[in-house]
Amino acid sequence: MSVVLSIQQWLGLSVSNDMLMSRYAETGEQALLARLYDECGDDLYHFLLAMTSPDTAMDVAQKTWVTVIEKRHLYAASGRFESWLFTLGRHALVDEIRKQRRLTYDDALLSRQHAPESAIYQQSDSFRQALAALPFAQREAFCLQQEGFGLQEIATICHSNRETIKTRLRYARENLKSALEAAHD
Amino acid sequence: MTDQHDPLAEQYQQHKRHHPAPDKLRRYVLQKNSHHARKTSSPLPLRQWQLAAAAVVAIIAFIGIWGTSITLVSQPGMLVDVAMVQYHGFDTSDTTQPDFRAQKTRQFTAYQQRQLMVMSRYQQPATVVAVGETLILSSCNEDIIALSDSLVATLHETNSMPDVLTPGDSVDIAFNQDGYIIELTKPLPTLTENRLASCS
Repeated sequence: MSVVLSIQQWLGLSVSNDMLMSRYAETGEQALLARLYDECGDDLYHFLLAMTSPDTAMDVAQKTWVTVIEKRHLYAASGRFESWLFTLGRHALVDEIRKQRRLTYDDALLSRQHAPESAIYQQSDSFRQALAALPFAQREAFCLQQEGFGLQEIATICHSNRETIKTRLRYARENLKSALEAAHD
Repeated sequence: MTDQHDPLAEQYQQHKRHHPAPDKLRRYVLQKNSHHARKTSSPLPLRQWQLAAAAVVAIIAFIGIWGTSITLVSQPGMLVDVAMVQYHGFDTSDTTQPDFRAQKTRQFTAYQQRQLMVMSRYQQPATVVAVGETLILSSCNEDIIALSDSLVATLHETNSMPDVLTPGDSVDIAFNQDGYIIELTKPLPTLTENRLASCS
């Protein structure tokens, strides 16, 4: 690991993922990738798990991290690493779903797509059921928000605009609340 | 962005804690990275080494040809009862070059000759006095201009002079900016009178 990062760590200073990724992009050092994975691996996997089945989530997560490894030189240091990672992850997810013919190419239909195969849906937990019942676009917007992304970042990751994301989030929350209240009643 | 007092956010985070990424995913990623690092740090493939070596040889050969390329000389030599004599030809004293070097030299000379044509600065009308081993021309201002056989051969090779010249023929001599002869042309018939007029 680089001297600067080691000193920062030794002094107890937090090292941002962006800094780690920039350094990793230059060196390809294993330890840096391991730290990035430890920071973001669970977040990405859980996002993918919320969007699809466990097997597909695993495959897509693998593909996403392989892309990070192979295309690390394309990482723009000006952006947040998490945004880049989730953008790659979403691309891989949509590609995979299209391959599996579980989703049409029509974005309008994409926005209404539910995830009946999702493992979350199969669980008895009411929250999981409610989340899985959300349309694809609302679910991804909600999950990305829960992963700490702002409106603009979600819009960028989903190739949409701010207002659309705002609307999707509002509907997602309303639908979730309604579903949870219904489950409690 | 996540609000700790938001019940939806709390439930989401709770669900996330219960579903961490499998350990095998981490192992797979790190293994991939090691594999990728080995792949990208491998030495140049044999084919690339061959291409690099060929490029170096070509550069060295080019430099060698450039360094030994013959030079055009223009030296006073012939003693004739005229005010000034010019002698044009190549210095071909180095005859020790291998055949391929001589061939490259000829090619380069032809190339140089064509290049010089582009840089032609002025023309001078003249008349053919004698043809033979040395082509002798007489200019309007009674300069005797002799062209060596090698220069004549080069001009022929590059189509820079008429195929046949006989004593008495009128020609236009093209000189480049350095005073070297780069072309001999027969003047157009309609311009002959003007040319002769300019001579007189």
